[in-house]
Amino acid sequence: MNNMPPPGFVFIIGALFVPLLKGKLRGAYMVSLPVLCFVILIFTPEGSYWPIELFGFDLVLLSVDELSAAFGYIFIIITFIGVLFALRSQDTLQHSSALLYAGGALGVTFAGDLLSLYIFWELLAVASTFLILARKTVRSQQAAYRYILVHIFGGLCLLGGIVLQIQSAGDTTLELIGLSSTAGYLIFAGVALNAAIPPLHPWLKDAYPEATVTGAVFLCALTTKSAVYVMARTFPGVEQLVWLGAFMTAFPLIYGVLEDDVRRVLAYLLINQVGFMICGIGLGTPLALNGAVAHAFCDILYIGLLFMVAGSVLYMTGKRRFSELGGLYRRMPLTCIFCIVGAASVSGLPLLNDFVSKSIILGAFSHENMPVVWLVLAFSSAGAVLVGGLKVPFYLFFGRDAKLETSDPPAHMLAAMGLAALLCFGIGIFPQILYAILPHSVHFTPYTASHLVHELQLIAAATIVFLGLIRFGWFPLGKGKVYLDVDWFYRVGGAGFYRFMDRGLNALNRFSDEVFARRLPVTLGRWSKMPVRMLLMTWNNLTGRLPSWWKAPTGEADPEATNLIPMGVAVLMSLAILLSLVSVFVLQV
Amino acid sequence: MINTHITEDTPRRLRAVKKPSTEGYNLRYAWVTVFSVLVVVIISDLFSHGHHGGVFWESIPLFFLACGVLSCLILILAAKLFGLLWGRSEDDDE
Repeated sequence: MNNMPPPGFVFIIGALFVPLLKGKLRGAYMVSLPVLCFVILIFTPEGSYWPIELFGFDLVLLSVDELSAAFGYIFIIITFIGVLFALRSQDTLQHSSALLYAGGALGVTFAGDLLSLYIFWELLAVASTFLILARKTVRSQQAAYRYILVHIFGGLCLLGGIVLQIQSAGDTTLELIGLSSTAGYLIFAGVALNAAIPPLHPWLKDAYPEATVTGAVFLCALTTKSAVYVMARTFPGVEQLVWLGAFMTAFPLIYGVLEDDVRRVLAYLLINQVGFMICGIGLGTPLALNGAVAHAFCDILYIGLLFMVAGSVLYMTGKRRFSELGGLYRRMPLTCIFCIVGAASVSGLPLLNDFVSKSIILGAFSHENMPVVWLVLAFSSAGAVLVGGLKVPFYLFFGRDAKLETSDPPAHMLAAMGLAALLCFGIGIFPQILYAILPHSVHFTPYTASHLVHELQLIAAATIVFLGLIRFGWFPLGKGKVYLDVDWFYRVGGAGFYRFMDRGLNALNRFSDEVFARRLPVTLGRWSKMPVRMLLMTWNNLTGRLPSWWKAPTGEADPEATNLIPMGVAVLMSLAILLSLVSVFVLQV
Repeated sequence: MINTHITEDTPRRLRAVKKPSTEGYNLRYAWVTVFSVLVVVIISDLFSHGHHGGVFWESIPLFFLACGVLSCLILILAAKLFGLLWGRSEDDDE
């Protein structure tokens, strides 16, 4: 028996009242919503609740089990942190959108059927678009437009898959689907797009850097992780996911090395980290699934922390590029410390949360004897140290001093970052807290001597390479450059295709207009009006001379110009042309 | 927020730059730290025999160090190549 409402509804309904409140009351109200949600989730027992009937289908709005509860907890925690981070913002649209977005993510997490999943999925897409639009720049508007277009496409794939799935299965139950049918592939495409699995990932690195300072914190946590949740629920053990995930961990790091935009680097790092989760889901063993869920939980905290750090720097300095920043550690000391915690965490430094969660995934692959994937994941771990662990803090807070006049951000922003950093340490030091909410029982010890030594070796190796590159000035930071990856196809390729089609079709249109609408009617008009003269003119054009008997009449004396030529002559001319055409045809045959 | 470089009018509280943080200044400490950690890690790895991983090379001494260096070098080379192939000026992207 459960009397609790679905946690997502607290945010969705709560968001409607945000514009009615002002000042500290609004702040207190917004902070209280995640707390209320957390309490509701704690007191909601496992099971399916809130059944409703819609269009003849049975919908279940609240379905709680270990998997959904784990994602539910972290979504609520990051919403609390995000709200705290955005506390002083006066933009009510942004606040409401963020809460609606969080409500959508929780709705997806606790959906007990495919249709309610789809409804909340679309809410997620629409609400998150406003967090990009709210930045109110031309670039953010363009990015938001691309973002919503891509997500509409993903949503349509999902809807198509759901319709086919309901048709074949006969009900709307949300369960293991797998890649064995068209419905499965369509649902997979829709979910993979939100999870930013390459080649469906460019929307993420395109949109997240253009979001508002506070909106990016919600964005980095909710869309990809709710897709990871749906993957874990519907496609566990699908082998293709292992290879896609492995590629996903490695490929974005190349761009992460190059990029100059701080939040774009973090976006690539986010894709890299989601790759680890996708690998774990693809492997599908209880240990691997635990690893995927644990990694999602930890990733939300440290990527969120790094996005908050980047947002704080952007908020305080107005700069978004590494090449414009540097040496901020003296002026933003607390932000620098939080950045180091986030960077150390993403590097997998012992005593921090990523060390625990990534170890579970790597351990799962080590046990299953998949050496190639294991090697790719080890490569990606070292790359994540280089990009997230070293490049981000170095170019932001150390390195060349940009001599920017600034200071640490306001207290509520520091408090939000501090809380995230504290949780990173908390889970790293006491992993049992995390183990308690994982879907399967955990028998894994991350803190073994060999594991500690191996992880420190990876970190030390990446640090030596990084320091060497910086020492000799060889680190390939692309100052003032943009690096397109798969989005080349729809940004450059699409624009080229548009230009080609635009010019090609317009040229065809102009040609048709000139020939069929202008010249041909005029010519035909002349031929029907003055057939003899036109024939003689053609003859003249072909032979260069006129018949000796022809004397060109002028003015009123011209029988054709004065319509004095008999109708029979025109008929005769027409017959002659017709006969010549028939002759040509007969000769050809 | 205000975004300007340090000038004569900048408050003393915000100037706080007695010694400019040049790259060399910061890197000295980083090199010392990383080499200290490295020495400890290498010694620990050479004298520890407790690992029973599923992949055989996990038990090769200093494998992770070599793997890390190689991975980062490959990544940097790939990034340089991709930068040459796909990099475009921001003005062209508008």
